[in-house]
Amino acid sequence: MFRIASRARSSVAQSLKQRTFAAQYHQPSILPYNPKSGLSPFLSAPSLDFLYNMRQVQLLDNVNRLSEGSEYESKSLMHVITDSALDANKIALTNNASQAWNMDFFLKTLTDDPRPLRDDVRRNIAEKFETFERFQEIFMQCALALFGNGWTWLVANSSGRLSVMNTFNAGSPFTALPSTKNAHPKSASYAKIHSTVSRRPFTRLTPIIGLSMWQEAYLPDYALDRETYIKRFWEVVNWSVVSERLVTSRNSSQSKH
Amino acid sequence: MLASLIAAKARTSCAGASTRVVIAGIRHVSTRQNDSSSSQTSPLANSVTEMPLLEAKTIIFGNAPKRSKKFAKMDNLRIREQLRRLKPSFEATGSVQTDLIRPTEMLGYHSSNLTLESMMAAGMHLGHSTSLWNPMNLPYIFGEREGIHIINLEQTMAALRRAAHFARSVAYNGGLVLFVGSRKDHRQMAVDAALHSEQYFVTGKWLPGTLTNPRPLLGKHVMYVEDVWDVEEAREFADYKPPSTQEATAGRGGSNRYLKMIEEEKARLKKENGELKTYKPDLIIALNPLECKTMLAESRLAHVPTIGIVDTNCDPRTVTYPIPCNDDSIRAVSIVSGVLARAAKDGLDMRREKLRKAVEDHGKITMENASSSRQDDF
Repeated sequence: MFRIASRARSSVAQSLKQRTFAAQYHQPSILPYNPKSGLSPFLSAPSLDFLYNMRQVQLLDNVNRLSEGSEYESKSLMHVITDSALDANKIALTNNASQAWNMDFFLKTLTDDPRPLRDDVRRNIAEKFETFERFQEIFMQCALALFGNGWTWLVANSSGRLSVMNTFNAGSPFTALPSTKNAHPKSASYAKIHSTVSRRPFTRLTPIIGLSMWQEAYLPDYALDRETYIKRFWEVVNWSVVSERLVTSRNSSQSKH
Repeated sequence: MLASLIAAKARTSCAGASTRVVIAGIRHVSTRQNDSSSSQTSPLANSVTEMPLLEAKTIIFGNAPKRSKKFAKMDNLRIREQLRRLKPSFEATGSVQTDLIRPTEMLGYHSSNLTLESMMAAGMHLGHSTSLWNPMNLPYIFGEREGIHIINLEQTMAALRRAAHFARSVAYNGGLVLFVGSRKDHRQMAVDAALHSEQYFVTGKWLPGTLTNPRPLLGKHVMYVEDVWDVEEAREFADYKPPSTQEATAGRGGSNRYLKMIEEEKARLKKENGELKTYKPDLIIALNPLECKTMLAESRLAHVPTIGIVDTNCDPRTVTYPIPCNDDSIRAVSIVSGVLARAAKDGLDMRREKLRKAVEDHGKITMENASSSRQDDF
C-alpha cells in the first residue's frame, strides 16, 4: 500500500532545488562624494544624510531580510528586480530592491564638484529633442505631472532612441514596459506577461538620467516648490557619467571615431 | 485657454482609466490635448508657459536620429554593443555585495579541533548490520553491539586527518577538487562545501563517461547563454548563418542539401571542439561511494585519487583514502564534508600566500626554488 503511494508521488519529476550560489549581503555602495556634507544647492546635508544613511540602509536591510534563504540571496540588485517582478508573492522584495537601485543610480548621477554642461552631451540630446533646453522643459513637465511619489527618467531603448518617462512609487525602468513582441500593441499590459512564454517579458530600457520625485527627497528642503528642486537638479548632475551612458550613433555629429 | 486645457485633460483622463501606457511623440502632444483650440501651431513655436499639461503616464519620445540605410545595420550593432557594455555597471549599481558566511555546524569543525566525543554525538560510530558487513573493513571495526558493527572512531579520526591532509595538499598545489553528493540529503552539503572552498561540485546523476569520454558529453556545455535577457540579440547576430535554399539544393535533387547540412555541422563542431578544453579533477570526494560505483571505476581508469565515506558494508578498496564512518547520519556526513572543505580552503589560502610572497620576493625565485616548492612544506 505504501509502495503504491510513493510510486504515484514520485511519478512527477522533481527539479533539483539547491542553493548553488554563495549567499551575499547587500550594503550601500560607496559614493564619490560624502553624503553627510550635502550637495549644495540641490540637497542640504541633513536631507542627503537621511537619504543615504537611513533610507538606503533601511531599503537594503529589507532586501537582505526578504531575500534570505531564497534564490534571490546571491543575485545582484538589478537581477533581483527583474526576476522578482514576475512573481506576485515577491512584491515587497521588488519594491525595496527597485527603490534601492533607483536611489543609488540617482545619487551616482550627482556630483559635489559640478562642471558646466559638456558639449557632447548637449549635442547628443539636442539631436533628439531639438534643443537641450527643450529637453529640460519636457523633463520638468513630466516630473511635475507625477502625482504622488515616483521617478522621472531619461531612457534609451534598444535602438538608441531616447525618451522621457515616469515610473510610479518604486517602479524601475527595467520593468516599466511589458514586451510588445508577442502582444498586440493596443493590449500590452501586465496581465499578459504570465500567459506569454517569452524569454523577455519586459522591454529593455537603459536609464541615463534619473530624478527622484519622492516627497522624502524634496520635502525637507523645498516643501511644495518642486520646480526649483528640478531646476537645481541640473546644477549638480555629473555630466561625464551621463555622457558615458549616452550612446553615440555613427552618423551623429559627435561620434568619437 | 486654461479652461480648455483642463477640459481636454479631463476628457482624456476619463477615457483611458486603465493601466495602459499612453505613448506620444513630441509633435503630437499639443494637437492631442488641445483639440479645441486651433490657434496652436507646432509645439516648437510655443514658449514654456504655453506648454500643455501632460499626463503622468505619458512617455515622450525624442526624435529618431537620422541614419542612412547603408549603415543602419552596423549602427544597430554598435548601439546594442554600447548598451550591452553599460550592463555590468548597472549590475554593480544599487548596492555593494559581500559574501555572507553563515555559521553552520558543517563548517564548525577543522581536522585539528575535531574530538572523538563530537564524532560520537554525530553518530559516526554506528555501522550497518553484522550480516551485511564487508570483511575488508575488519581493521576499522571496533566491535559489535545490538546486531550492528561499531566503527573504531580512532581509525576514523586518523583516516579523516589523512584525507584532510591530502585535500589540503591538492589545493595547495593548485588542484581541482570535486565534491560529489548524489543522495538527496547530500546535495546541499556538497554544494556548500564546494562554495566554501572555491572548488567544484557534482550533484544528482554522474554522467557515465565524464572522465573517460568527455568530449561528446561535455561538448554541448561549451556554448552557454550568460544572461537570458541577451538571448534574442545573440540569435540575431550569431556568426553561423544557415545556407540559403538555393545553394543548399544546388545539384541533384535534395540529396546534396543533406550532405551540405552535414558538412556545415561538421565544420561547426570542429570549430567549437577545437576550442573545447575539458579538465579532469585532481581529487574526487565521494560522500556516498556505495552508490557511485561507475564514477569510482572511471576515476581509477583516469588516475584520479578519491576520498570516500565507507560504511561497514562498503568495500574500502574502491576509494584511495577511505574514511570509515556512518553514511546514513546527515550530521556525520556534514562533519566529514565540512572538515574536508575547510582543509581544501586552507590549502588554497596557503597557496595564495605563497604566490603573494613570490611576487613580493620577485628576484629571489629561481628554478631550484620553484621545483622544491612542490613538496608540501606545511
